Amino acid sequence: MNIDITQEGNTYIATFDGRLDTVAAQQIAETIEPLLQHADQNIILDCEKMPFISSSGLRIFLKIRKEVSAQGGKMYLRKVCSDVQQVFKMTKLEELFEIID
Amino acid sequence: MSNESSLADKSTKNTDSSGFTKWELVKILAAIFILLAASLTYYLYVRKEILHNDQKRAEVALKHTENIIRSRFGKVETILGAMQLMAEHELNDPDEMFVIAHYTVKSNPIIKSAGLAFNKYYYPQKGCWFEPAAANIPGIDTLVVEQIGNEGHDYTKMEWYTEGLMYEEGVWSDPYPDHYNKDSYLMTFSLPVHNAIREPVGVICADIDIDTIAKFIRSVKLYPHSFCTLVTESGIEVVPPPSTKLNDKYYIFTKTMEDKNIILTIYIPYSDMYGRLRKSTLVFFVLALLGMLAVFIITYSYIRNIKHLNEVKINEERIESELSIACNIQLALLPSSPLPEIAGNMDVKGMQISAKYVGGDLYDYYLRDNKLLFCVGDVSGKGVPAALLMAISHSLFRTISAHNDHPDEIMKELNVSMSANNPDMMFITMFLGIMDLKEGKIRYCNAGHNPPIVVSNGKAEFLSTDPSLLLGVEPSAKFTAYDLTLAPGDTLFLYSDGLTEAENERKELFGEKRALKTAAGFGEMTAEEQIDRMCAAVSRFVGNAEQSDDLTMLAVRRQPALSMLTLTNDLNELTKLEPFLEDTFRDKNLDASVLSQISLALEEAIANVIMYAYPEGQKGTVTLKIDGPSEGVVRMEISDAGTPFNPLEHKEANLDVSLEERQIGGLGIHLVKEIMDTEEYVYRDGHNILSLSKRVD
Repeated sequence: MNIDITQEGNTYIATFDGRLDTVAAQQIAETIEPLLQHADQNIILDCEKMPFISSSGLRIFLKIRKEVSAQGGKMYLRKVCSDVQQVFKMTKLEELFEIID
Repeated sequence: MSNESSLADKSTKNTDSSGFTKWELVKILAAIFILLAASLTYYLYVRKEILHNDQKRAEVALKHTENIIRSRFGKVETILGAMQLMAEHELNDPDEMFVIAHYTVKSNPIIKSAGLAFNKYYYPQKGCWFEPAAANIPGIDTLVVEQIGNEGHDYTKMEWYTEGLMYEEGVWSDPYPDHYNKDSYLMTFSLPVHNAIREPVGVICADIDIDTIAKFIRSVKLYPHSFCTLVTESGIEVVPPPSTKLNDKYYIFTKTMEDKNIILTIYIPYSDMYGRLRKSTLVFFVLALLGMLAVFIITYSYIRNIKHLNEVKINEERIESELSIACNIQLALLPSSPLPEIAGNMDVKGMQISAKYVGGDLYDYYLRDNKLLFCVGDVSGKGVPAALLMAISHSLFRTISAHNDHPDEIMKELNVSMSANNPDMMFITMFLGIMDLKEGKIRYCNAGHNPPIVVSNGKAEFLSTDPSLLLGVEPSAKFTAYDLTLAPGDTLFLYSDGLTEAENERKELFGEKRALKTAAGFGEMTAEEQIDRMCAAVSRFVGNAEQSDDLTMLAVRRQPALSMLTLTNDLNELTKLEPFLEDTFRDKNLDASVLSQISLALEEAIANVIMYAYPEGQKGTVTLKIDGPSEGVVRMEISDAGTPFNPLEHKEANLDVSLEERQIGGLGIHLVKEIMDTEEYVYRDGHNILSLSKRVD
């Protein structure tokens, strides 16, 4: 699991590359720290290269969203594959995330 | 060498049944002796009976004869008594005595002559002697009456006269020869004649001719050669033994008439008395002897047969037991338990029930170079020869297949070896297969054997490829190999004709239909369970009928795709899960998203175990087993030895409340339940076992 974070103006884009499974979710706790620090900005989580997400991964997403909503920023999920969307559906989290193409 | 010859000697001694032994001779002699003793006893017993019986008959005959004699004599005594009274009445007139004498003879035919004699000078006018007498003279047929007393015939000196005077009751003389006929005898009865003062003054007498009595006595015959005699006490033979008297021993029965000085005797010759008995005893003995001889001959030949049969049987049993030992050794080489190396992929089980002591069926399987080699064969015939050939073909199978991977070539070699030396044209049918364990691909060759049953997804059908020629008959026979692939869970069920031709008491056959039907019900059974099921079906059908043929079965089953992964309780171990699943479900044509969901659910469930099952710091493992997909379902099982905990009862994440209020921890289990079709939890044998299933078609 690689996370590449880039900045375009006041928008931070985190590109998730690989499976966000339980092991990966533990490893990326520090990697996402910059995102949490800029939670007052726009944050886009690019999921195009993320085929899989576990409940731990979901918790990472929920953690970011909580921070964003607390600091008045905005969070978008981009290019979510159908398998992951399916997981959102099953957990009824789809409405919590704003998904863009 | 000396050992062998002494053994041979012994066996000839034991088996020689053509001559009598001393003991047997003694037995035969004893039997004849018993027969003789029986005949003798019979003879003596009947002889005693005959003697007793004849004694009675003789007594009766003698008594009867005596009675006849006595009645004759009595008659004379009565007549003479009457004449005595008449004479005493007319005593004064001597001439009247002539009349009395005349009358006595004339009126009584049994009286031959009669007379009255008086004391000397009783009638002085008549002189010294006076004896008026009347007599029938034989030949003249005239009754002569005259006075016969004179000096030359001085009756006063005669016994009849002197005794006649003395005995008031009268007296009989001894028989004496007739004066006129020397061949016949006379007897004289004398009575005294009294005067007025009861003094005896003379004697009245009558002669009786005993010819008629003699005639009667001669007619007394108890047997053809028996006879009766009459002898006086003084020894005169009145009725002597006949001239036809035999030169034989006689039984003698005697009756003495003391008052008449007469002895009556009946003579019975032994030959008459016991002749018939002797004859019948002899016939009895001869017949019994013949009967015994017949019984002896029958028994003897019977015993000889039994002896012969016993020898044959003992021989057969010896050979059979020796061969059964050989056969057991051979059978011990046959595989009896599952092969541990392939337990994960393949499941093989064979079974054999021999109808006779040793059987002609054969099955074998073994593992070589990641291949399973197996065969089922049936040798023609039963018993010892079949077992021998079976043992040989088993050895050949092992030897030839050890270095050859082509069933058709193995068969060809087997065939050449077996037909090379087969004078009795015994043959073997055989199905031989070599299975690639990884792929489940079987290359097989069928030499005239019953087509095996392929069981797949609850359907059973015969593997009907054209069989090649059976083994052992034609050295140049060609063999063709075919391919078959067993999918996980499929079974190739091999058997001998002892299965389809198992007979019940009504002589019906178990048949192919029943075999197919039973196989179709195998379901998820292991090879061993399949064999047991088929066995139970056959024995239910056969009932109490005797097993008619060897029954051999071999089930080769490809395990349902069962994969297993064991992880320690470290979250990093989860990285092994994804490659494992990829490996497990490769080539299963599973939908990628379904696969992804399964992957997610398993990860959630296993992560749950890794994080919470074992107390902090304690090492532990979690095991995942995956079975299938079979019949469209993948079955999964996650087990650990941690604290008993049912994740399914864990409070569900309440997804409807606002995000902030959500309990994040329940998400994983929620996903598991959401993805899987069934979830079950049990705590068993110290393990938490979570069973999951998911339809994938």
